[in-house]
Amino acid sequence: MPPSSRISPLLQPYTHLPDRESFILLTEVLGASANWLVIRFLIDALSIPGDGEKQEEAEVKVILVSWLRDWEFWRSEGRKAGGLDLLRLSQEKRFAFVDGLSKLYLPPMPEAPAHTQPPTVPSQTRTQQTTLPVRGSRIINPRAPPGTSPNLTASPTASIPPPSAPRASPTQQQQQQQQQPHFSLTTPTLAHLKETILSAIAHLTSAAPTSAKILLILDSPDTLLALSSTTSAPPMPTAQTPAPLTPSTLCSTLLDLWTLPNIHTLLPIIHADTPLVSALPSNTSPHPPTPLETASTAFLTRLAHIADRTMSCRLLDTGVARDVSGVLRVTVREKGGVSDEAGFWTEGEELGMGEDEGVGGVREGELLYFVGGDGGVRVFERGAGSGEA
Amino acid sequence: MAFRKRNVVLSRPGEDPAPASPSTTPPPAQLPSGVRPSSVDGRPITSTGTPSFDSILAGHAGLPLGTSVLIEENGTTDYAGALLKFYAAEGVVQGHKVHVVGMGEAWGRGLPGVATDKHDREDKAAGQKMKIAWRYEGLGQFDGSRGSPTPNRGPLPSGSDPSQIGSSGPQLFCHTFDLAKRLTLPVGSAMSFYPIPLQANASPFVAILRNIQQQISTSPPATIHRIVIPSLLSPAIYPPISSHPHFILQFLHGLRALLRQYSTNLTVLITLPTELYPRTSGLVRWMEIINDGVLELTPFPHHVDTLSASGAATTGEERPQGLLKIHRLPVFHEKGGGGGARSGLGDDLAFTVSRRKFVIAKFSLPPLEGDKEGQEGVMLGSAEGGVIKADLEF
Repeated sequence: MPPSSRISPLLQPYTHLPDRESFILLTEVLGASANWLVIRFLIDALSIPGDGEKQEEAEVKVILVSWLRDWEFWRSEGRKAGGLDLLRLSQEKRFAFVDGLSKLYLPPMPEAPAHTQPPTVPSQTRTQQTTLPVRGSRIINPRAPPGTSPNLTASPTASIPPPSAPRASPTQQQQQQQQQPHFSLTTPTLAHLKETILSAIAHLTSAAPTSAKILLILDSPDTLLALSSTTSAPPMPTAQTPAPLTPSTLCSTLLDLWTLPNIHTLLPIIHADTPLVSALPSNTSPHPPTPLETASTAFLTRLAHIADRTMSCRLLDTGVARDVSGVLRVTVREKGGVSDEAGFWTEGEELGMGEDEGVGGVREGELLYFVGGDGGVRVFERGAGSGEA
Repeated sequence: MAFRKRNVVLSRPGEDPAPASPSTTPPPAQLPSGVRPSSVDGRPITSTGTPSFDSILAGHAGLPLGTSVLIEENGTTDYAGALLKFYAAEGVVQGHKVHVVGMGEAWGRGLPGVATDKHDREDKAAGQKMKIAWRYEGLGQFDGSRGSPTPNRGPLPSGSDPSQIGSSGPQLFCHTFDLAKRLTLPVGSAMSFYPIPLQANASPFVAILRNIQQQISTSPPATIHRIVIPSLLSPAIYPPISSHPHFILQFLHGLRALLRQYSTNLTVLITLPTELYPRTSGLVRWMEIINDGVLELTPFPHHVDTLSASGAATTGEERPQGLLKIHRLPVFHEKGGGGGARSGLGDDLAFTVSRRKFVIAKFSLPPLEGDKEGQEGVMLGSAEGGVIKADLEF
């Protein structure tokens, strides 16, 4: 199945990476998750120059930072819905996963200190031997016969920088962790986030030419905001922590990342549920907004003002339908937004309602989508029915 | 074997059940008691102890391992507590390890016992069903009318061989409990209780999470664990400081990490009183985002009971005690959600708690008094199991 047919033609202009550096914001609400859309971005970025050998344009690499979902989810979804072998792609240094879930707030195991771990190399070979038959028994990608996998598994796992060194744990988990060539966030600080992403970039660009385009996907960076203690206490301006986690510092960290030389497109996915975006000062609700709500609103509003393109998934306004999962609304920033060197836009609207066609020739509009049980997605115009894709 | 074509769309279920299930995590050769592969995608699932609750979980007919469900209830009732007790009791009966957060041993002693007479009848019925159409036996009540292609799952868990079946009978996936009885707990400590530490300034959840993690990591790897958290953040149990967003959300985030780490061993069920923590607040919304499934129970006020008592059409069945709303389902919504056909999402659901069961069923208002045709229609419709509704849709 050619990769392009996995993305509906209606969706293709939106998931294709723009020519110039851009900032695409995805929003989702409870019950209308944007994970399927992230997979579509992954397909578009990773599968096109895979074996076509067209090297005239720079290869696209992807860094996926996920605070709410684990590697296993993305790997299986990428395989089932997108036909992507993310493990192989990460061994080819085209994909890097930064795990913000498993070690962020789960305390390390007290009874398994790291120094009792056996030496790395023998354990790797052992786990590969035990895990490979499982993978080989289910061949999804015909281009990757199981015989080629061992050669590929060997080097990148060993060349991972120290932040990703797996903590000792029971052997079952150890096998999984050894399999995942990924990075982990261990503390919820912005400095650590930046550092980890920088090392992921260094990992991806170590062998390849520096002209590689990197798509940086941030799955729910607002989790950091919700989980950090500074949202409930008044932010302390003192210098005990270098950057207290507030909407503005998180936002500027994202912009810092975006302006890194290799980062081509920044793609954050933010929750835009009504309680999280309605904390306006003019809100006349009986309850004053809590600091958590204020922080979420401020963060999302900031990003929406910066974004070149906003793609928001929401549920149908009319209730649940049998053949529609939700609505995808695409808004494009108006022409005329000019960015200076630092990447800050000097002018622009949040919702480019004035013109039909915005930056990059992408049309605004609303589409309906349906996520099937097999991971396939149909995208269609309102009223187009269910016959065509 | 090397020449056999694999991953054909519908492999014959009798031959080789293991590769027929396209699961994300390959099911272990011997599935533990109370665990079976999902009829949708083969991932291991376990029962919640309530058959109709199992049946609304997006066609999986059970709670997928490695996921959590948050049950919200408004008002002062505790219907969700009944669901929790069934869930815990099912775990005890199946030999799973049950971890109870915030409640004492008295809660564990109050678990409902297995209904004996009902049990026999159900067993016989199950045996009959096995003879007629065993492959539909595992499907939930909503799946029966779905008309979907045959799910590619084996007739039995892959580890069980026929001789075993003959000797001990088919393993019950979901037991029937009687709230009026008391479960006799097995001698070994099947349940462990985690009291809430009353600290003035620190998060009470850090210690709990660490203890649970330690318990799980030190138990044998094949053990199935269930974490039960009744009335999360209720001021009767938790100190005021625990409702600070970063404490509770960090705990839930850590719990989610634990679930993903033990994705074939662990499930979590949480209840939350929304009278104190309304769904319109950002805190509760974040709790919903971090959990895999979100259900909301809305009990009817009492005077509605007397009103609907006049509806003659509902004489045969018990009147529902409230509405149940599905906001999010495990696995299903994580992929993006896909229409309401499979999950019963589009239907109005109501729940009924009686002495021995918690039933979730489609809700419909009774016809008007004196509307004889309408009443007959409803009687007919209920007799035929909702065929009428399906006909009306097109």
